[in-house]
Amino acid sequence: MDLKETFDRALDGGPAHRPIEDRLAVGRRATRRRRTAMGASVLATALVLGGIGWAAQPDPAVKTEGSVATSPTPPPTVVSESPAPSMPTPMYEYDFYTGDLETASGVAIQHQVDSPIARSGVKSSAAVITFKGKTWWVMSALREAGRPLRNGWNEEQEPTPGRSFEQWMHEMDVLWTEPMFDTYGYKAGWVTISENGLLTPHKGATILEQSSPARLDQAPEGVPSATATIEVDGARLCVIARIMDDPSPGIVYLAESEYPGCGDALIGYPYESAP
Amino acid sequence: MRRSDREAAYTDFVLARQDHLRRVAYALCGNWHDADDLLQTALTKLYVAWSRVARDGNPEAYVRRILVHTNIDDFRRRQRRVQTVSLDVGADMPARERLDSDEQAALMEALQSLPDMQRKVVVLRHWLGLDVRETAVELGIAEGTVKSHSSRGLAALQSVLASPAEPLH
Repeated sequence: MDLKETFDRALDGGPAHRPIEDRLAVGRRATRRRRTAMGASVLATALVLGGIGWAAQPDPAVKTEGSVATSPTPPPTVVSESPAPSMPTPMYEYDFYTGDLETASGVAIQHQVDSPIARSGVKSSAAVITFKGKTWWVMSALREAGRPLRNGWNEEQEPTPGRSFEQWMHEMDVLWTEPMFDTYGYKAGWVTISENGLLTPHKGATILEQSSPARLDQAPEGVPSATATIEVDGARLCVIARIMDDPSPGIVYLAESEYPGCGDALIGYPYESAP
Repeated sequence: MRRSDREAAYTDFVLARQDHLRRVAYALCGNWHDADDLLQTALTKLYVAWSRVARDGNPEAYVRRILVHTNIDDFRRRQRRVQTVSLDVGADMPARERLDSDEQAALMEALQSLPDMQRKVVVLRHWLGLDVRETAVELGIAEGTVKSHSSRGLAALQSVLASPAEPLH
């Protein structure tokens, strides 16, 4: 079997590309935003340096003698692209091979909940931990019966003001337990989106509120899109839905305690054209 | 260089290479929505940096690097997909009916089931044809790590896609 040839065949196709005019417009906007940001940065630096200079001035009410030494102007800050990120180390997870719960070195457990997922064949644990001076909610699950394939997930989240650890655990359970039993092609199917951007609930879900279209950083301009808050089995979820030139609509479900009101929610990648 | 000249060169490059680059994104993401977003993000960064990148003479490598590392960023942010790991690679693997009926879907599913870095190594090494050193530089990892990810990734793909008598090349 020639893998390259198989790849070539498997990766063929895809929806139509965005018009080149749109790509150019987004690029121009990004360039303008970058210049504005750089201008603001220079202005802020000037204000800070000005402030330091002002603060360093001798109090006119205090008589000084001799000359005042002034330090040379510091070189301008060079903003460089960040280096390639390294792979993260999970703070709290089940080892796929041994099935043991493992924590990263330096993790201190403040509060632990054993088996928060009440489903047979699933091993789970959640905790409030501190790591490197910060508090985290962490949770991990493993489908034990999955041999030779074993499925699992681990989540970590900084505590969200106004939301509880219990609420977050339940949202994780609703979002990620079922996909462990169908990792190929799992569809939650809690809402569908129509061509005019209207969401309809299914499978016992309740739509608490919805708006259309989604923000520009959640969906490209001009495609049917919507955001919503829904309730499923007592868990609140944020929904971002959009119809692009693809066989099926893209519908993403996120934990509402992580993205209250879908605020700052991302489908995957921030659109450079976002306002 | 005037903006119109810059945009003309950028347009030529994008129209010529966007198909291939989105396939790279698709291989990394596993769905066209994310692939389309990922490519748009990369092409926007390319637009902003076009003068410098075009002067360096390899805009495609620049975009590919953004695709790979933006996807890593996404992985770090979301870390929420259910992962599947093969515990007994190549042994006692039950036959999957869809392998016979839909090789394309099977390959993409198998590829997406690989851990993030294994998937990137397999795509760069065995589809795009980068050598070990180039792959290591591209991903910012050691050459030995590339080799181990490559062999594990291929073994996992083989266990899903091919019989033992038909090794992947």
